[in-house]
Order: sequence, then structure tokens, then C-alpha cells
Amino acid sequence: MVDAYEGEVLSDLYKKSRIPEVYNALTLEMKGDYKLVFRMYDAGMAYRFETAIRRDITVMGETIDLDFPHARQAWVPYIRESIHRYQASYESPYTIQSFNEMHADSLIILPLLIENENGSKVVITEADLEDYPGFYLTINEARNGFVAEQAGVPLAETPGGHNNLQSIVTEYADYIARTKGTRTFPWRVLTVAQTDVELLDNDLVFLLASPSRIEDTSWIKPGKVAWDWWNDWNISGVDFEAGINTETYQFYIDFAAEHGIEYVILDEGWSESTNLLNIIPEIDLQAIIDHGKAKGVDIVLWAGWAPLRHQMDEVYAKYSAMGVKGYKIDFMNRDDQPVVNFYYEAARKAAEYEQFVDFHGAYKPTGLHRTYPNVLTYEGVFGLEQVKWTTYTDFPRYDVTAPFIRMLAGPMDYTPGAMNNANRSNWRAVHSNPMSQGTRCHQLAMYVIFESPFSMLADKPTNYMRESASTEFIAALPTVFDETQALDGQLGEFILMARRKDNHWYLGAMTNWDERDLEVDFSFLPEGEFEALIFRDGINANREASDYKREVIKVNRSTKLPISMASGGGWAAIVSPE
Amino acid sequence: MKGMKNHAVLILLFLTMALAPLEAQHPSYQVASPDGSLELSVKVDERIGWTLKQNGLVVATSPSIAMELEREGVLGHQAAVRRSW
Repeated sequence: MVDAYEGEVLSDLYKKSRIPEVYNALTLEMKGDYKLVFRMYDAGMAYRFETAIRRDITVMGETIDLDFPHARQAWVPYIRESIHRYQASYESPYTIQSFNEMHADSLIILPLLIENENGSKVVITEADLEDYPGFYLTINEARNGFVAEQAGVPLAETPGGHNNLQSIVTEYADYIARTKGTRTFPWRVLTVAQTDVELLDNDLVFLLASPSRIEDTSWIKPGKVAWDWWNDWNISGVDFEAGINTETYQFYIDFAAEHGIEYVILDEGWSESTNLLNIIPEIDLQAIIDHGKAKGVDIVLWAGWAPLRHQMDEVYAKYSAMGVKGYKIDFMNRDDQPVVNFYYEAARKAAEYEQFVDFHGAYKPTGLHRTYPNVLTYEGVFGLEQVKWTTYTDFPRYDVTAPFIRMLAGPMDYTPGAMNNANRSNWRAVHSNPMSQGTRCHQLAMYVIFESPFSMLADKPTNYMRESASTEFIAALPTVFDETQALDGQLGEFILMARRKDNHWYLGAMTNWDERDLEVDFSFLPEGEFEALIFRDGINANREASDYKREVIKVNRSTKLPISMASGGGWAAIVSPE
Repeated sequence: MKGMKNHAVLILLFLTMALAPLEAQHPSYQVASPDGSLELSVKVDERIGWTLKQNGLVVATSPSIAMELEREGVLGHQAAVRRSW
């Protein structure tokens, strides 16, 4: 009675190169020209509608009603700092609450995690979101589950928000989508895990997404990028005024070239805010691109989404001809039907010019990175930028929570890499010269644990030059992998991950503000002797969070290595065959 | 035409009555994960609902899956399965 499927997806832009896909499906063909399709994987379930209606349809709403009769509590990312109900940045720390404590009037963004009384976890999200709005949840009236809510189709918009480059919806229709009558709808996904660690290596969203629509993906180059905005262009020891100007970017390029960093990004400021075709006079973009080209460093441009929406063809044509490789597209902050369609158009057209995109100000990933592999990463995370202004002081806990929940949906552009690190009592929000919460090694481990095929180096080149050992270590870490193994972890407490690229293994561990001892069991290694380059918290890392110890030791598959992490600490290693 | 439709309804009614003793009033459909740890039971009557179990314990249920269309009505209400596989 059921369809059994067994297959495998291949990717060279993912956390593993071979992704097995095994499921049983149940299809119910209903009276009224529609089907319901259910898929059961070992890691969870998914269902979706499929319609076969000849004419176009108008969708008034969808009922997604999910009850959890044995729930103990949930990790709730409430929408925050919204301009209005359906317009926010999708960057939220988790509030841990029982169902009775939840705020009935607040929208919850996805993914949402529910813990059952027996400790098992369910994570709700969606996949293959196309030509349709995303969904939010709110606690239901009975307080035993959730009901979904979706933005209507915008009828009127006006420029506003950040530097006037967002597009604020002033009027919504009473319907959520106008679309083709014959189509599939997004998958509603419930990941189910007996143990927390299973959530760290989950492929459901990727597998449920539509297959790649880009035939030749060989031109898509993942990698790391020297970033300007987080460090506020604050370089020192140079003979020119630092800022958004040609000399500063040439300096960033020289730094990137020296360390084998693939990209330099020009964040907001290189062009007029609302006109991406007007470059400011301080920037000689061709000179910057050519300087990079001579040194093997490629250039990526930031772009506000609303201006890009209107200038997409001209922008892509002009800057690809000049040699630009990709865009960080920002401030969508919506997931109504036209904005979801914008993601597809931005990715599809960029691919025509062999350019990639990084969606900032973005809703959670729903698998677009499989459908358009030139989508390298997405924000939708409470990332390192928050330490510039936040009052939130529990970042190390967030760092060992988001990988179980948000990262299950796909890559996250958290933008790690702070070289100024602070313990719990020293940390302050500083906008222009920021510091991270937790230790140096906590930051280094992020490059292993946080998935992002396009990964920022947040700090300034002068800090990285001063901290050359840490910088060399970060530079040596790949951003895509052949294999991923979640070795150990507990939601909100700690994570220990191993990833393999070719015959090198990359290990990372992080803890919350609690000091923690773990044991690394190297039995994942093949036979043979290996050399491990290790960065561990220094003995004084609780006092001075940037304190670390670098060491090289021999390991093999029978090694069991005790490690100690400081408060907000971490541990990272590169393991290579001798 | 009208007569034919009535005949069809009668035949359908007859078939439904004939099948009633053999099949539950509200059919339910089962599908499990390949390792058997997750089991889903889908029930179709006035509403389409489901129950998900992990190792025999209920982890999530849904009283209703539906999609409201402007002209075609609500998919998932007064639902009837034509065939399943």
C-alpha cells in the first residue's frame, strides 16, 4: 500500500557529499482534483498538498493545526523588532516556555522546537517554499499546540525602514497566494529525534527541496570572505584614512590574499542606498576588482533587496561584466508570496550571470540552496552582529542552541570570527569596536560547527594580522564538506562535531557559559596515524577570554582525548594524515 | 443527464452501503518510517487528521489539514479519498 523510496543525492556544496534518501510515502488522491502526500523518513515526517486544477487559483488560507499532547516545553523564537506583524528580520534568540506560559499574541518564526515529556524533540519547519508565503505559528486556544498564520498578498507598498531601502507593506489582500492550479505546495516538516544529537545532522529540508535547476554548477565557488561592516572599517597602521574607499578595500584584499581568503565583500555604502548603479566617488570599483584579480581574491557586493528588485537585470549585467562574483542581498524581512518569488528570481537570474547570492535579512532556509545551488547561505539567525548593540548576554547558550533548531533548515550566515573576546563580566556592547561573548576558541569552533558555504571573517584585518595563528587556522577550514558526524551534544548546553573534507577531519566543540569537560573519541578516523592541530581554551580563558593554547599532538582511531572548555569556551582541531 | 446522475448516486450509495460492513466508517491510512520507529495514521472523514507516533508514543497530532481556495472551496473538508497508494 505504500511507496518505498531509496536513493541518494550528490552535492559538492553541502555538509556532506552524498546524502542518502530513504522514505515511505503515502499518497491520498482526493475527490476535488487534489492529493495529499505524506513522507515518512527515519528522521521525521512531511506532508504537502498537490493540486490538479486547470485554471489559476486563489488561496485564501491554509489550516496547519499541530498538537503536542505530551509536550513539556518549547524553544520559541518569537518574532521581534517587527515593523508590523509580517515584517521582521527573523533573528530571534529562543525563549524556553511551557505551553501555558507562551505569549498568545506573538508570532513564532520557524523552525520551532518542542520537547516531549520523555525528552524526545520535534522541530517544525517547511521545505520547498515556492510561489507561496511562509508560515508562522501561534499557540492555540487550548494551549496544547499551534496554529499557522501566513501573510496576505501585499496590495500596496511604500519605501521605508533602514535607509529607506526596505519596502513596507501598507495593505494586504485577504488571500495569501494567487498561483497556478496545477502544482505542488510546500512541505510541512516535523523532524522527530530521540536524542538531541540527531538534530545536528539532519537532511530533511535539503531532501524535500526541488532538485537543482542549474545544470553546470562547477563555477560556484564556496569560500570565506573578509568582511568590512562588522569591524566598521577600523584598520590601523596605514597611511590613508580608513573607510569606504578604494585604498581600504585594497588593504582588505591584500590581507585576504595573504591568507588564502577567497573573497572580499563591499557591504552597504559602496553605492547610493537606493540606486545600486550609482557608485560613490570614493570607490573605484574596477580598480578594486582588478587589484583582487591580480591577487586571486574575488569581489562580492552588498545590495538592498528593494533597489535590486527594480534594477536586477542592469545590476547583474553591469557588475558581472566588471568581474563581481556575487551579492549579499539584504533587508527583505518578509516572506509573503511576492518576496518568496523574489528569492527565486534573484537566484535564477544571478545563475544566468554565473554569480552567487547570500540572503541576509532573510526568512529561514527552505531548501532553495538545493534548487539553486548558487544560493550559498542565508542569515535568519541571531548572529554576531548583535554584539554591537544587544542587551542579550547569553550568546554562548544561543550558539549551542541554534545548530539544533535554526541550522536544521540550512546554512546560516552567523558571521563568526571575533578576535576581541570577553567573559561574562567583561562583555559590553560596542558598536564600532565590538567583542564577542565567550572565548577565542568558541569563535574558532564556529567555523566547523556553523554551516555556511560562504563564511564571513567578521573582524578587521589588523586584528587578524595581529592574531595570525588564529587567522591561519580559520583560513585552513573548508566551508563545504564530504561528511558530517555529530559526535555529542545537548540542546543549549554543548556541541561536539566532526566534519571531513577529502582526508582531513575538522572538529569543533562549544559550550554555554558553563565550563565543561568532554572526551573526544577519535574512533571515527580510519586506520593510520594522524596529526591533530588543536586550539583549546587557555588556562586563563575564564579571566581573559582570548587566551588560547595551540598544540600539535598525534592521534589515531583508538585515541580518547579529554578536553576542557572554559566558561563560554570552545575547542577546535584539524586532523590530518601523517 | 439528470437521470444518469441520479443513477450514479444510487450506485455509489449502494456500493458504500455494501462496503460499510467490510471497512471502517472513517477510513484510516497507515505509513511508517523505513526503520519502523515513526508511525503515521491518517484519518479521513469530515476533516483530514493525523497522528504521529514514535516508538508507540504519540509525539504530534493534527485535527485538520486544509487549504481554502476562493472558488473551489476548502480542500480537506468533507474529504473523500478516490484512491490511495
